[in-house]
Amino acid sequence: MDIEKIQVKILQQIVKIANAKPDLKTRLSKIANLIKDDFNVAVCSIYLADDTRNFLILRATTGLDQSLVDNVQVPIGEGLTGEFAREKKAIASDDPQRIFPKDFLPKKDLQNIKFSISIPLFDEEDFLGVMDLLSTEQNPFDSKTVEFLESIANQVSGIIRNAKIIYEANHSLSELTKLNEIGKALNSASSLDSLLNLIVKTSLELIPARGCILRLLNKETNLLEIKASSGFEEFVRRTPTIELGQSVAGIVGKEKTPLLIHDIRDETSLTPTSRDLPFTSILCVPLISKDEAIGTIGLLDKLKGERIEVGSIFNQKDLRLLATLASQAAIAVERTFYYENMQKLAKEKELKIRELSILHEISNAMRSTTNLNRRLYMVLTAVTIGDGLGFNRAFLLMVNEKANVLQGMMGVGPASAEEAGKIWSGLHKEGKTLTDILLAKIPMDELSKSKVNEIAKSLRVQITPETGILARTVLEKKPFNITNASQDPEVSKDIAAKLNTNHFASVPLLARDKALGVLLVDNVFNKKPITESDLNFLVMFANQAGLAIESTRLYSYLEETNEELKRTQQRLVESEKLAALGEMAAGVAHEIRNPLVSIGGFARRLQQKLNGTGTEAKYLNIIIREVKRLEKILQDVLYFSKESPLLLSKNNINEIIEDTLLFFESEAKEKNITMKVSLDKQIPPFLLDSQQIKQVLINLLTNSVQAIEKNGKLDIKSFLKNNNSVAGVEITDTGGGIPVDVLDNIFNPFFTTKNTGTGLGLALTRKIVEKHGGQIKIRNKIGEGVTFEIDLPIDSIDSQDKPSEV
Amino acid sequence: MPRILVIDDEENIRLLYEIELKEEGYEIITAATAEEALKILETSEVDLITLDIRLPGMNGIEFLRKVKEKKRELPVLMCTAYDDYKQDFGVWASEAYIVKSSDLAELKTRIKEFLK
Ligand SMILES: Nc1ncnc2c1ncn2[C@@H]1O[C@H](COP(=O)(O)OP(=O)(O)OP(=O)(O)O)[C@@H](O)[C@H]1O
Ligand SMILES: [Mg+2]
Repeated sequence: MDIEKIQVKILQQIVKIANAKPDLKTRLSKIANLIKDDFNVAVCSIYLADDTRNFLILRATTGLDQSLVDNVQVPIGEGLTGEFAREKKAIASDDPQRIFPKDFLPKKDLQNIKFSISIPLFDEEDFLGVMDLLSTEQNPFDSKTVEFLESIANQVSGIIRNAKIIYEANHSLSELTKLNEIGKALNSASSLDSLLNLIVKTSLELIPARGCILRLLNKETNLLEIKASSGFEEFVRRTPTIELGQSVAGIVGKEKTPLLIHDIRDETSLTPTSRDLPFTSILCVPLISKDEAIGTIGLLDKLKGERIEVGSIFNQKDLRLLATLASQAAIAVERTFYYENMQKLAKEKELKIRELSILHEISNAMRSTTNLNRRLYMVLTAVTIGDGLGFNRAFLLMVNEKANVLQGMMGVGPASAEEAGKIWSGLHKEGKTLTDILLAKIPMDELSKSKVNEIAKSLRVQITPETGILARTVLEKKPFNITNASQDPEVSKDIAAKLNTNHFASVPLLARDKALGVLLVDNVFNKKPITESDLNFLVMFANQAGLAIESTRLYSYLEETNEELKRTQQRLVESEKLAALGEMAAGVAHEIRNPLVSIGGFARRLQQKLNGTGTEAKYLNIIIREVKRLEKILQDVLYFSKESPLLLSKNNINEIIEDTLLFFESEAKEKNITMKVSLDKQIPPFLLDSQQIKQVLINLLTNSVQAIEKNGKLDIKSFLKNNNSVAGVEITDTGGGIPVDVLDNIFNPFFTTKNTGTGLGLALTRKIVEKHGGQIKIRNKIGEGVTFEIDLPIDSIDSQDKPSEV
Repeated sequence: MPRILVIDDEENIRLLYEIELKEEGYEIITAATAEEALKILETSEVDLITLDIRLPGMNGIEFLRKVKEKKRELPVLMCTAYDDYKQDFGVWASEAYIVKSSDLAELKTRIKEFLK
């Protein structure tokens, strides 16, 4: 077979398939088709490794029965697979018995097969799968052909990797969205029972499984009792309780760490009855509150979903997901617990009905929002309002863990006794209930101007025992009732002076045994003493408030991650668009580039002949310049749309900089731009693609020169950073900087503010830098200029081609 | 005078290369197809070849292989409009890979390197 004749055609077709829209499977089977036809083999099959990397699963084939797709599983390591996974190259054999998939395929399909070759699919070190060609001829391929097949395999690997990245991004996004919704739902469940059932239901939605069991710990008996479940009714009925420390759930509860079990039947040490259990795989995580396990959630037998790689066992990602859900669930459980237990508590502590209903109203109101500031405001309002806890003033201080300080955040209350009287009677007249007030809009203006809020913000204490009562409230997680602040050695002079009161109480805001902050209250105006029962109530309230605050923090964390993912997805979409564009551009490039060469080439000749005078020369200049521009656009678009592999070799970055600067010398002189160059000679040569890095520097310098226009300065520096693990290059110009609305867009392909720009310069620059595993940073001073810094890792070149880059 | 064989199916490009390279002091022979070029090589000695890849009939990569089988030492510069072939191992046998441009400076420097 004359393989070279069809090489180019095949490669082109594969690139076309790679860039086409359909799902991965369709693309793989198109490739299998193509290979079967063009290489004239009986069968071409593509197997992909599953999540666990234990099996190869048939994902596409031509020549075999289509019903085998997804149903043939070959253990990795069996037959030749182990060998070529290690060697990373194709292995051929004319002894059909040696090739692995044989035993796994129906005999009738293999009758005339005389030869088989398996080509592994790799993404860097990661083994993705294998491409199998079966032929009825003896030794149909020469070494050139095999080499060519390997390069096709490379392309196929790229296709798979990209599909996986897109899939993962979409998948995580939907998971996070779900988690976020779940959090909100959990927060609004009204009774413990309905909450527990909701947790079970949502766990199963998040990670499809045959069953889910939720257990809560009964502290008196030390038994984990099933409180809600789905599936495995018989099992649930038989084993309603488990002792702490026994079986999977018992161990999870006791050790407070998740367990992920692939096959419970192998785990006889965990539970003696493991052989008779009606399920095989288990994922179990603890529900933790105040550093203690209050229960467990267990998922049983993962269901196959629609995935690129189907794994029927739980994986680390499932574990993380369930653990995140569990941390939200634990908060919700505890809070609901709390409320349900309140009735009991009320009797014990003889809490007044009024107080109970206040707590109820407040916790309801807080559920209405997930905004941290609002919740904080509600907490303080509830503490100070006459219908609420009725303190004169309330201050909220939050722990800043990094700085280890307690920082005042917000203060609520009147500034003076008269104002106090006015507000209280005013509210009464308006006939507003506590809930009305809590749900009203935050009067942010008033709040930020108020004197009490100012005092609050000025409070700042280091969290060490020596700094006194506020720090101790956090450290010891208990309340303090101060009756003589000015004389008390535990109250610092500074705090006493700012509060200007002798009597105040300080209680910790707790969430899951962590002190988030301190609630400080006083009765500075009516001088009402703070009683023991006031303090009890305040503690209870602070617990509730702490949980509410903690859960908003979880939300905002989730929302941030969510945003981040949306951005990644946006970039993926962008790059897909570009791929389509590139495909088109590649197609016409040939057609366009040749005429451009002729037009531009002859124009240049004419220009030489005319010796650069007169209007003709001017017109010629325009032609030459415009052709140059078109050629650059063509080059940029093509570059951008292709995966240009890095051609790495050890290079001295300083030499590349100096080389590049040569280009700019005359232009700089002409425009009166002074260049200051300081290069760190200590930077060792390291692996990089010198052409592409040169491109980066050219792009950045061109932008700077264009921004300066005339008369200015260009600073070029190279240096080592991060313990000599990173080489930095900095280019600073005096071009006036980048306007804010422009700044957000500069890396977007085709964004430009210039008449003759393509807007691909920085997009390309970023792409190249990221491919090197590096970063690009901007310091922008509007009115002055910009500094672009590129950081390139010196030795971690294997971390290149990050998944964010597609 | 060093002799260069220019292979390109576009007449304008052949003409441009011919004029420009003659001015650099080379003798130029041109061919529009690979087949034609092979014939020329049977009868004439050349010192360097510039070779387009997309050609009617036999393509540049095939031609490259045929030439290299016989004359390992003869420098061949690939000059193409489409730089995707760069990744094709078939072109690795060539001495240089140049993407065509209306500015012939790069082509000229590369040729000079090989014909010193
Ligand atoms: N050093 C700089 N100073 C001021 N603005 C800049 C600077 N660098 C980039 N910009 C702004 O960012 C935009 C995008 O830059 P980019 O290099 O991507 O495209 P371009 O220069 O417009 O076109 P191309 O580089 O493709 O010819 C520019 O149009 C310009 O508005
Ligand atoms: Mg630019």
